[in-house]
Amino acid sequence: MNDASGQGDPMDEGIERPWWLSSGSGDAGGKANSEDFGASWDMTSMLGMVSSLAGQWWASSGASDHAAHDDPAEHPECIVCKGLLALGSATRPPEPEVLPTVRWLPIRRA
Amino acid sequence: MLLASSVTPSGSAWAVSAARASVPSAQVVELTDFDERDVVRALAAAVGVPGATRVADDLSGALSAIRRTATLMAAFEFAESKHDPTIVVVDAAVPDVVADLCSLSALLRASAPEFELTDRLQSICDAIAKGRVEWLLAVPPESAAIETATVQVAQGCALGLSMRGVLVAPMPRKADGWPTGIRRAARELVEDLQDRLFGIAVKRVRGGRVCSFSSPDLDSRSPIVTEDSGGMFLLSCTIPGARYCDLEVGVWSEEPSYPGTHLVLRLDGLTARMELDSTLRRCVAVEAVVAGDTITVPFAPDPGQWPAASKEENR
Repeated sequence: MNDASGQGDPMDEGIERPWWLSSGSGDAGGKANSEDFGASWDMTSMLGMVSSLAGQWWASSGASDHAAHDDPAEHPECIVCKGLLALGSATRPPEPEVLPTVRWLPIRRA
Repeated sequence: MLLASSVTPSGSAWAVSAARASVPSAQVVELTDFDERDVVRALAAAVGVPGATRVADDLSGALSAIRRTATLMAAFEFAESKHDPTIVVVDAAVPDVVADLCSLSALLRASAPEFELTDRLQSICDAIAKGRVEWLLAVPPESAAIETATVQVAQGCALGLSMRGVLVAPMPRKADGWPTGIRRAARELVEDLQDRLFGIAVKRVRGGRVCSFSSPDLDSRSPIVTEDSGGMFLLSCTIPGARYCDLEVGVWSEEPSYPGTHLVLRLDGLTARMELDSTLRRCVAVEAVVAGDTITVPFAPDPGQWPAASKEENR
């Protein structure tokens, strides 16, 4: 384990430079982890992001326009209509499961 | 398993040294040593659960969260397979990593209880809740780092991590030529951190040598439930450093039949969930009363959940 030795002569450099950022053995250079890794990532946000990406793919595929299509046979360019024609049936997507949300409480400082 | 980390990257060696001194028989591994690819693939499949309501725009953050969760899972399962204690060196903010894992566990319990990883994640959360996952943090005596350490410790305690202690290192030494003013300021910052984190072992390096940290008393920070004369249940918990965080308190239910199954604490944006016992699950949280680091939440019995006649039987 290193200690705080080997940092040269700090007096020569004045004390403007934070000593914990100095080089040499035993120092603690670098920035804090909180900067390296960013703020805490909320996993629920991540799941939302995945759904968002799926939605973006869905939109980019042109399939989102399908909602305005009545007769699949009239829209051969639509990937969903094409699929429905191929399958010969139409199905509804499953209803998304609604995850419970947090009920935040009023805070009283004692 | 003892997690060792540092607020600054180069302080990691200090944390490892203190952890070694604290648990001499332990094997030391780096969190990044573990191959998490299989778990990442499995988790990526798991996040296909429906019901997500939030939208985020940081794909790298999401992938990073999955990767960190996977590596912590691998490290925990490695540690569980060993007879001797294991020190895991974490090159990130430990609360962030643990919070990701706990959040994913809660989501999978609600959305995919049959998924194999749900049980694996739950076993880690159980170990954390029982104080079997400890944490030792190193921080330099610099004001911004001290503030970061304060918040991290509060977040870690809220998540249920068992805090071995905080090592302040390195300290400026007279032998190395540091002026008196700088050395005094560093010692004052150590004392400030000791005040901020009352009840947590905060030690500084002396003469370039690290000190050891003993296992903390788990019972001292366990939430306490009492009943007042009006029939309200009071849940109290003390989170060292909480008064230095932006704090939100709420309740969350993973079972629709209960008003709440978890107390939720959000400290500086990090979410921690604390499981409620069978009594409090049948009650409705009224408010959160905050005094210093202590948070008290009164719970009123929900008449629909808990007929008055059977109240005592259910206790």
